[in-house]
Amino acid sequence: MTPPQPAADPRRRFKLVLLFDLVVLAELFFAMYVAHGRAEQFTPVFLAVFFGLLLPTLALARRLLNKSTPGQAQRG
Amino acid sequence: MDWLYMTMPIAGVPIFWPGLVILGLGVGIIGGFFGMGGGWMVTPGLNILGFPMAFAIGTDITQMGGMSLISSMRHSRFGHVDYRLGLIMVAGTVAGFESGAQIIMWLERIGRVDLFVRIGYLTLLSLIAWLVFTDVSQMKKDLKIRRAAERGGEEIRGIQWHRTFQRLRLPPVVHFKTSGIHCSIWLPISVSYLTGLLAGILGIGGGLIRMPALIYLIGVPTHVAVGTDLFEVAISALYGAASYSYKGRTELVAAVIMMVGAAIGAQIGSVTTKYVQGYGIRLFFGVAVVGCALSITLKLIAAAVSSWRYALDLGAAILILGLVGTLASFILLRFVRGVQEELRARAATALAAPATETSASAREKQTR
Repeated sequence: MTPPQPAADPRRRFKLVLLFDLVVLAELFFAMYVAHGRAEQFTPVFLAVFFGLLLPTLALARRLLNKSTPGQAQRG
Repeated sequence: MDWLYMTMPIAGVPIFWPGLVILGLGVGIIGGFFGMGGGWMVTPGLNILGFPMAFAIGTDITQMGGMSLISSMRHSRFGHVDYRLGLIMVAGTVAGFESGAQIIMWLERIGRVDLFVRIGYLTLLSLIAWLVFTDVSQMKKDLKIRRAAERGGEEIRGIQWHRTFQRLRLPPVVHFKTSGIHCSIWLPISVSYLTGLLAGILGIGGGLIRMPALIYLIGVPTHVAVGTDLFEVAISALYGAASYSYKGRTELVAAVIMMVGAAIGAQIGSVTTKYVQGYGIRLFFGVAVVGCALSITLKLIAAAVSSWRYALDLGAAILILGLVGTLASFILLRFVRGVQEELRARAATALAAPATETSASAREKQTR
């Protein structure tokens, strides 16, 4: 049995990268919105919210992109 | 929509923060495309967006530290980093950077930092523009020399300054295995001190100056020079980030915001190099550098002529942001076109393959 081919599609990989770039941008805007108006606690609130969202997003992006890489897909 | 404006926690200046994302994105696209850090655009860009010069340098260097660390780690996988040379040069780089940062603090105390840094940038940008514009003519000359050498059987010899410097055997003399050179330890230390000094004053990684210095003054092979230079940029930028943060001249939030934009832009820029070739791009880059130098000149004139200050400041801001925007849009457009063409070509190949198979089997049947 050959592994499922759609996973190795470069178009899918391109769409995934684009999607995750937009998600990271959205997270940045959300973190700025949450931290806005907290003059004293601005930096810690911004960093906590932004990195709290960014790190799981990066982990998920890495996992999905590894799946869409031809070599990795065949191995996996 | 007042949340789109934020008062920088340390500098205390109001900033339209999506402007930082756009600046980071533009710098990332241009940097990824031309293989440069793009620090020469960030400091003036931040200054124009409203950052005081010392904060612009500190924030720029912090953003660069994060980006260059990732790049150098990737480069070291190819074995292009001479760690022994790099670690020796760290001493000179750190000392030079600290001297540069102290000069900036002193200039800030006497109120001359903006003038001094702008003149420094003007000199640097003129140097880059000169390098870019002479590149094409140099390439033609090289081609002529190569042809003549091929006819006469002579060896082509470029600039040989490093041989003179390597002859200065001031002890201790060290052997660098990866680079394959033998020289006094003081040679890389002095070169790194001077490049570190410039990096500290201008808030750049120093790669633009350090890379040619490694090749022409120390004699490091080009591919090792690129890797070792990246390692040095990472070290000097991270040290610089720590130094400026300790002095309270770094806006961490602004650096993170720009890094997001730069990370996205760098992907676009580096992929576009696959689709674009030729010297026309370099000339376009040269024009952008000249425009950047022109914008700084406008700022210098604005500081001297108070009655024209507003108009000149506005002109400088429009010019630099327009240039970064135009160049980034141009690259983005080529990226989109390149991706479209590639996808179309793939689709055509996929369609052609079954058709070829069908016609081949039909021919086979006819033969039978």
